Amino acid sequence: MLFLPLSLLQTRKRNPVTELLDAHTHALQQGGPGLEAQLAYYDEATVAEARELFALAERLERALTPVAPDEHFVRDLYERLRSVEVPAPSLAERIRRLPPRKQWAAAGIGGAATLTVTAGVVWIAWRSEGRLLGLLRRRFEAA
Amino acid sequence: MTGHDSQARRDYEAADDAQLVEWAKTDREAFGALYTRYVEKIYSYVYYRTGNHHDAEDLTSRVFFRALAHIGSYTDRGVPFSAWLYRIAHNLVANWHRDRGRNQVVTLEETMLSSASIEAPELAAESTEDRERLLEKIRQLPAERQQLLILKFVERLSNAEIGAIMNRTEGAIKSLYHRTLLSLRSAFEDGDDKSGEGPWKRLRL
Repeated sequence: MLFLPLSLLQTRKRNPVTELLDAHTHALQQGGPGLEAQLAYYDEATVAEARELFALAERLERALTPVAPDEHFVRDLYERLRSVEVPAPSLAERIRRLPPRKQWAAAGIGGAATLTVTAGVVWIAWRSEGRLLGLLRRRFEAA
Repeated sequence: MTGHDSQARRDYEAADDAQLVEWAKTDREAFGALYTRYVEKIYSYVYYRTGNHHDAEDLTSRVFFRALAHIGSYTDRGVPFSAWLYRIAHNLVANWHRDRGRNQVVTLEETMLSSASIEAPELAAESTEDRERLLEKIRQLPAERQQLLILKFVERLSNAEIGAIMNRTEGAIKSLYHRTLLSLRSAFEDGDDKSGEGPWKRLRL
């Protein structure tokens, strides 16, 4: 008696060809056994479609092979990457690179600093205005 | 202990990607080790997406210069470093295609000649003409389907790894693979109808 792999049993609820094709390609690349025995569990239409796609996958496997770069290019690029100057990151970039918690802390410190400066400016302006008004009032009264 | 002392003791070849990335933020030798590890894979990927060595070299250079410029801001969010590199490559190739226009003729002849030297012996069974037709049909697919086929067959990545690069689940990758092969099959059927050849004669069923 043949037992189906769990993944193939699960796929019977979905599109079986999707899983069969995936399993076939995996076996193709890993050098595993074919799926002929499993095909016996499926109807004719499914088997026919699967076989067509298996053949196409085998063609892709033969045609799509790695392409090696020119050795001179690889060495030259390595040297260029070693010697190139990487510009120092800006303050904004450095903050962006911080972990999220530190970014929140930086935002908090920045916000607090902004509020402090703003409050200071308002306070100075308010005091200056008071002094100016007092000066003007005294001159007006003297006149 | 100085930084140079600690760098001198680093075993770049034995280190995993995550360790190399951390070192590479301040250590150019570590970045060089990452480069050595991935240059051929990125080159292959870019080569199949562009179809010629000149642009593959240019774009591969840009991928690694961009990676070098941004390695300091790389944060491990569960996505492998290789996926990050492939995403950079994918974006640069997309820009390259956009700049050249969609109707640019791809030099498939060069693809045949240049990769012939590294083909497996069994490839002899696949005639140059058959392979040319197949690559031509692949290049007519949408970019994400081309990407999937290259990552699966050229780079030999698992569905999980491809999913990490393409930001999809493994199930979605399986479905996309199925749909991609159906599209390819349709493309061959359409082409065969136009050329008068019977459908699927070349697939040796």
